[in-house]
Amino acid sequence: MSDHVLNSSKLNSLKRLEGLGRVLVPFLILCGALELAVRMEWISPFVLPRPTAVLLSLVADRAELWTGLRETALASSLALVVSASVALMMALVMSQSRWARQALLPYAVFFQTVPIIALAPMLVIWFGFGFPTALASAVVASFFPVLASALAGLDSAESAWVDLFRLHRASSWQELVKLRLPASLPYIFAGLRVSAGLAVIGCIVGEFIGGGGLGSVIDAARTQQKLDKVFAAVFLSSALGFLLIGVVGQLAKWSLSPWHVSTRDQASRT
Amino acid sequence: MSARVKLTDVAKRFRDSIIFDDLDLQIDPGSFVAVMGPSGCGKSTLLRLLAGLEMPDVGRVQVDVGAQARPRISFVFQEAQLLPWRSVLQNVALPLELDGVDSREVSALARDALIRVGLGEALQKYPHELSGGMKMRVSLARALVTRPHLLLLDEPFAALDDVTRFRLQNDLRAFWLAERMTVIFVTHSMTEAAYLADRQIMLSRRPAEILLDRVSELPTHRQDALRVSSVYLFEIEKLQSQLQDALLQAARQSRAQGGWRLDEEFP
Repeated sequence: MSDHVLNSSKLNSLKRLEGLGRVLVPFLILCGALELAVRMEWISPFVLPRPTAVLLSLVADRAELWTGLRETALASSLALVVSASVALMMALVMSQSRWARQALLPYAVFFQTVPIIALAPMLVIWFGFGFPTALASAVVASFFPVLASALAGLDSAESAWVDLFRLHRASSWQELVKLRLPASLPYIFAGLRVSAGLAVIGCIVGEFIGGGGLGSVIDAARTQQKLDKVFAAVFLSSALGFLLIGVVGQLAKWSLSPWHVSTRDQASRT
Repeated sequence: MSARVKLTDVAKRFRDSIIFDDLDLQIDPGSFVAVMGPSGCGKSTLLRLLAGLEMPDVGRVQVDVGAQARPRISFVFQEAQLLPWRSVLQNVALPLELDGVDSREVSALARDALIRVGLGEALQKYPHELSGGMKMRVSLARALVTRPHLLLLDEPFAALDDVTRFRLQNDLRAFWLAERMTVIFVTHSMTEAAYLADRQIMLSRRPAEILLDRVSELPTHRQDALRVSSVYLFEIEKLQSQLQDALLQAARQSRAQGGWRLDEEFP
């Protein structure tokens, strides 16, 4: 029995390594090709920097990049928490009241269609330079996916389940807590994953206009034509996005395990 | 205690489709009734009216348990319809939670119901870990846990294999004999209706009318041996011939009123 468990845990580690390899190998091949192309002057270093130059910049400019990363990470994580909380509250209200849904949903959709880059200068006027604008921009960018997915999730309960609750004269509160919210969790986490990436993008856009964080590092390095530093900052912002999406994924795994198909491994699927 | 069911002059329509025009039906407390009929004739709507999930446009639907008590009604759907995020025990406990039963009793009652359906070992499993037959057993346990006065079943065994279906039919019959609640069982299968129920009702196409209403002549206690007995085969034959007679009579009446074909009724 214990041998079995050991073997299965070894197998899982090997599978994880294999998965990591599948991600890293194409990246390393691409970096190698780029390095070669720039060194051989097939591509100008003013168009694309050498990957080794980006790596050197990550080390040389680490103090500035680390400060920027901290600010962006703080603003985008906080924004994700704020937008997810507000969007969930709004979705709950809209799911309970037809009137609220009809009144609020068109504005939410309209708000989503406004390009964040066009809105960012207004955010600077309203919230001032630096962190508040980055935060507001990230909130605006990441708000809608959670709202839309939570609304879809709250409506996703199967009609037979709703009938079962109606048969037992369940209150609206019982229906919400015991049926609609649990049924909506997979949808909410799917929306949160999208929002996690958008929060970082929204934050960088806000920092471009309002200053601070990796956004202003990118903007400043771009004007100084330090492409290696631009790419170093872009790499860090992408890594931050990956990290946030990973955190949401872990939360999803923790919340949906063991019942949801997304949290089951292939072997246990029936 | 079991429920007396009475439908008086019931009419129900969905948009342009008339499901029932003027339906009257009475079912005595403690009966086991099978309702058959062609697809889409309104069998499920009949169950939903009795469950209070639909209201009649005209007429009256009464589920009476006397003494001003509120009838306890349970419903078993075509598929098990278990909540995937709840364990087997939690799924069976759900109706009790919704009915406001003391939380200390809920778990014990749900456990007892699961033991009765032979799933005492699967309490902590999740629906995705169960076979189709086991899921339906959980669904039965969920329906029985509240000790219903009226148990409504909408083709619950249609998707199961023969062995599982026969076992569940025997179990359902045994639960009914033990509890004597009123059972209304919708099915497409004439053999299932004959084996399970003590009264068989056949509905016509929309607007549904009662084509046949008969009482079974099979013994009350039924086991698998009955399925291969001449008594059972004779009962099925009789049910078929009575149905044929009812269909022909309905065809004659309808032709007299302006055209109706037998193959339209049961294509």
